[in-house]
Amino acid sequence: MMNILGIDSSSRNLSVAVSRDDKLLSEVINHESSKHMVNIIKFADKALYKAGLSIKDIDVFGANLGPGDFTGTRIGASVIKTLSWVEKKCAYGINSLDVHAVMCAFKNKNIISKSLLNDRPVAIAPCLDVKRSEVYFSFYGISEEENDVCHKSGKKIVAGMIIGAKKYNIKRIGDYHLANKDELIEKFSIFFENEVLKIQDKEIAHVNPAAIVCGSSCVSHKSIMLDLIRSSSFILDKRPLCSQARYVNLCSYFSALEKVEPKNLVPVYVRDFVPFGN
Amino acid sequence: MSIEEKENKKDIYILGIETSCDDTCASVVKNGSVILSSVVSSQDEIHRKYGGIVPEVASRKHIEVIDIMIKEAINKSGIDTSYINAVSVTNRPGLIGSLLVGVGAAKAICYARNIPLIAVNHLKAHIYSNVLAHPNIRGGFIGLVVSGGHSSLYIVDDNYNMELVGQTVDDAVGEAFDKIARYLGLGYPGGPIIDRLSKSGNSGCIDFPRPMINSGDFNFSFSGLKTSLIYRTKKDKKLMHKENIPDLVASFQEAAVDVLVEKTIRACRKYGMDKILVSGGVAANSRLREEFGKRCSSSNISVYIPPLSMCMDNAAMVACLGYYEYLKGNFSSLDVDVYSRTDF
Repeated sequence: MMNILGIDSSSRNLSVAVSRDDKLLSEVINHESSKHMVNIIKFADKALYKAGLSIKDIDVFGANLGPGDFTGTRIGASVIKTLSWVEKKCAYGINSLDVHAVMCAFKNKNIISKSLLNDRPVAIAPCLDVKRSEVYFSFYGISEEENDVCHKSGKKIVAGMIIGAKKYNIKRIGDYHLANKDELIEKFSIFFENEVLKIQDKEIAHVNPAAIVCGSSCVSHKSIMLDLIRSSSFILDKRPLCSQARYVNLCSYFSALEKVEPKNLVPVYVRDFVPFGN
Repeated sequence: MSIEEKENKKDIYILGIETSCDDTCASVVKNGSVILSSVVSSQDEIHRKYGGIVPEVASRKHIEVIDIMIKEAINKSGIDTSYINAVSVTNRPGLIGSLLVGVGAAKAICYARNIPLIAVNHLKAHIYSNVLAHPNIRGGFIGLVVSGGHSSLYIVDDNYNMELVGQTVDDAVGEAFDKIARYLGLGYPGGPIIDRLSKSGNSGCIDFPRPMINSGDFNFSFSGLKTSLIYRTKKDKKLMHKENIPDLVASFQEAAVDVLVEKTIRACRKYGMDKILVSGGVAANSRLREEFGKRCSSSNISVYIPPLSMCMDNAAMVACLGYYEYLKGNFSSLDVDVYSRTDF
């Protein structure tokens, strides 16, 4: 049994959640403020109180390290790495794309379960608008736990979910990508020609693979995204959702289960910072 | 740590954290005067290629090393974190992206250990670098804080209440040194380089203006002095020749030092004080130290300047100030914010 405290300060919404294994015990969310520095400890304290735990009971810490709001991710990283040091526990920094993918899987559980029960593969592609007309994205597949070949194929399990009575893994396929419009379209087409069909190993060549595209790009790069999904049976999840701590906890839980080596918590930046533009 | 020491409840251990600008600093100070550890991760090397501090770069570096520096300060102090009575951290004024890294870490420690948080003013902490170096200093003095970000004059009463009496209206003095060094292609940080070159130069070679020396108030201005140097070198290109650089920068430094010393002494007389405490990065300037010593002794004023290591940003001064706030019970709530500017 593992108690987890996770923070998501990567967007304008600050959230802190407390979980036991993959079960959420409490979550405190602020929907309008950007005062993360002011609220962060108060929220952690409130979430622990609601869960009936104290900070000493926490076994694993987690933080969404972005990409996201620079100020927010720094606050989250600073607080979580220090808490875990004082408490002598491990802390995981979770990439924002992983958090978005897991959130998307849970928010679209109905659609996903229908496809999976019909033996149709489902992929999730969170796409974040990272300015300068570029998109930061990655691909995720969902498959039954017992069939999982992740360790052999270099795919990383980011979290799990239960559909019906079966356990499924949400796993990242390949790397995180930073791409402009053309590169994005190319990566998508390669992925859906090769990966989705292969991982499921089913005779479904006659059916278009289903995928859910989510993240801020669905709103701000709408025309690109519509182009992208025109030829396939994709769904665009257009709700402009900020990521949430409960999904950070799920990712942290699976990182701990998988015995991932914790690293120095440093925010994820999609580009190197170049002062004065030279 | 011996058993007697453990049982001596009078000892107060403060962990200080300072990340207001480009240095990541942590320190453990016992009873406000014994520095058990003081570690600094300097970013000079990183900012050198830009000729000045780039805030976004500074913030990125702080978050990489903050926990490493805190651990190092604790390890070197020889005490366990459970002995720390409170955490003192700079939360104003400074670069927001830098401040929040230190304050986030400080809050986390205080929350987990259930000990008080003391959020302090960076400039006040600089003044306390003198208290740390000379623990018997009583209140009632004029404090001058001169650095790359500040040039401020304070009147400090018997109870250490501070009031700003003057400050720069444009560039900080250290900022002017940095900008001149960059203009002349001398490198970064400019202060120590100009100090070193000036030693072989004639400070009377060029008669630079003494900006605002007779302004009637206690404000400073260093931007005009900088512009004056640039105009002189444009008019007379020879000044930029390598052999003339020491004379040029020595004259420039002399003008800056003259204004700082003169106005500080005048403030001291006007407010009827007999002590001056100088601190901040520019307090490391050898000419400034020398001139304060000379003119103060002839005016019967005592001048205190901390050792060079305590002039630069450090967390020991933050812990020292934190100790005195701890004694007064001046604690901050865990929802304290960070501020780029502030008054006391």
